[in-house]
Amino acid sequence: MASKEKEQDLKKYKNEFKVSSPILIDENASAANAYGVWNRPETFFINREGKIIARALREVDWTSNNMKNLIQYLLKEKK
Amino acid sequence: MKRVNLKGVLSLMFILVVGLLGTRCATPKEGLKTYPKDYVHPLTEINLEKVFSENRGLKILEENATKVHDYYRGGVQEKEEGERLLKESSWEEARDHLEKSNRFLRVVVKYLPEDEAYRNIYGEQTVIFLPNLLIADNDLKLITVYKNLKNDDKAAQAKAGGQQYLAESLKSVKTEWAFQVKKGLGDESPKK
Repeated sequence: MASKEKEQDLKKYKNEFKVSSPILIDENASAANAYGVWNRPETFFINREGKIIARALREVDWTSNNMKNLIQYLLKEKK
Repeated sequence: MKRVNLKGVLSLMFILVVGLLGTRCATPKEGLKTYPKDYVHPLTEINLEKVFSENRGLKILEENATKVHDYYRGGVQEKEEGERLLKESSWEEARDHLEKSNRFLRVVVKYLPEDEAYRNIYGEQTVIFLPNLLIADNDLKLITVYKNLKNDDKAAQAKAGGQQYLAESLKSVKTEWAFQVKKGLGDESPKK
């Protein structure tokens, strides 16, 4: 989700970094405000129950062992 | 190490990355307003309702607060609840929330001691950031609460504390709201 960003900048970013996932535009930062985001980027991990179970307050290396361990731990959660 | 199955991850949970572009193509800050040091921000511009509305949403629990801005948000949320209870004359409940709000906000001023009318948090996004004034405003309301609970000593402490935090707030930024609180604290006589 991109807060207060221009659509053309987002398209350029998507192409440049080959981002395949959808990017939502949070035009007036209302979503960011509701989540209390004061840093960018900030990542929230939300489980099936809608609970925030983790938060990362800076850029995340998605290939790091810590991140893989976290995701694998979450995948083991029962439905 | 097993490979992470991305499809599986997405079917099990939702990862929300806010401000994806963050540092890569953040908008320049030329749109940010600046104010002269002695400018008094009017109530129409900076007021309690605006502060509340900027901090609604996900509720901050004391045990989950880790960053300074979590404590600020928590302090504002507790204040809003305290103010609501104050209007209902629920003195003890209002006291608990306003005191909790002050506990949160004192953590904030320990790390970020200066009030700012508009604190830039990223890009051109700003928030009203007045922890000292919020404590002073809480203390003003707590005087009424303590008086109703017949605790004059605590009322006197709240008045002294409020004046101290108000002075800190006015050192950094001048607001019509702060001058209202100043008048309120001046008018308050802890002992009836």
